Amino acid sequence: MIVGLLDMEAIVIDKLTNDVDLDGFDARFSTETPKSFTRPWVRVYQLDAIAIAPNDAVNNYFMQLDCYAGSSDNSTLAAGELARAVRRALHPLTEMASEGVVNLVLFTGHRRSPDDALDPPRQRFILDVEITAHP
Amino acid sequence: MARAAQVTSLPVLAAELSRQPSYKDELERRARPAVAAAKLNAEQAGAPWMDRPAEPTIVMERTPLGVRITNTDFGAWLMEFGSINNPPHGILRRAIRAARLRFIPSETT
Repeated sequence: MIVGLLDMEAIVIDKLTNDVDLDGFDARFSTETPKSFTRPWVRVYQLDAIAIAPNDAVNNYFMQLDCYAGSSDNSTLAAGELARAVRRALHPLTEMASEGVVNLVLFTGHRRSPDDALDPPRQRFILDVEITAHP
Repeated sequence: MARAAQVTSLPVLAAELSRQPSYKDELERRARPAVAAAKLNAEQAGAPWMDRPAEPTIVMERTPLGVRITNTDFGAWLMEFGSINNPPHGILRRAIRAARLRFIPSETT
């Protein structure tokens, strides 16, 4: 029996969108780069999903979350606070009932990496997170 | 009453091990699947982007501390982490996981 993969990007975006502590950031959460860079945003990107049990019963999802400051406050502090709030928001995924059961949320990277594709470079923190889950 | 566990410190063990050629051989053997995965990932990402002449995109080399896998492309950082214009490809990070190794981020990488 093939159980199937979860749409982990959707699960993460849903959690971030509905987190009350993130309301104050007026940030957008999406898999795409937004058209306007005025407000802060978080790009959610699934880099990989590795099966750790047969038939996709349990998978380890490897996600990259780019936490960008908005142009109105392009500071390291703003991007850093957003990144820390995102981390806090995702840990409770293990306690929530959603379309799948999340067993583990493990952040394996948290680096400051301004994006110089914008001028001036936009402040950004890159989070690596591994999420182990089953349907 | 349970006996207390005894821990013997071997401060020179890591240094001694790293000097042994057989230790490096074993590290290299374990790194090979990650190198193969990284080469495949790089190819899928359309590498080379900004290549260094006469140098392959993914190289493995021995260092005083162990074995290092490097993406030599001038666009390696962009390839790995992306930007507003590029998706992240996670070439090395995905390769490490595919080889069932643990990726430990470091400021020196």
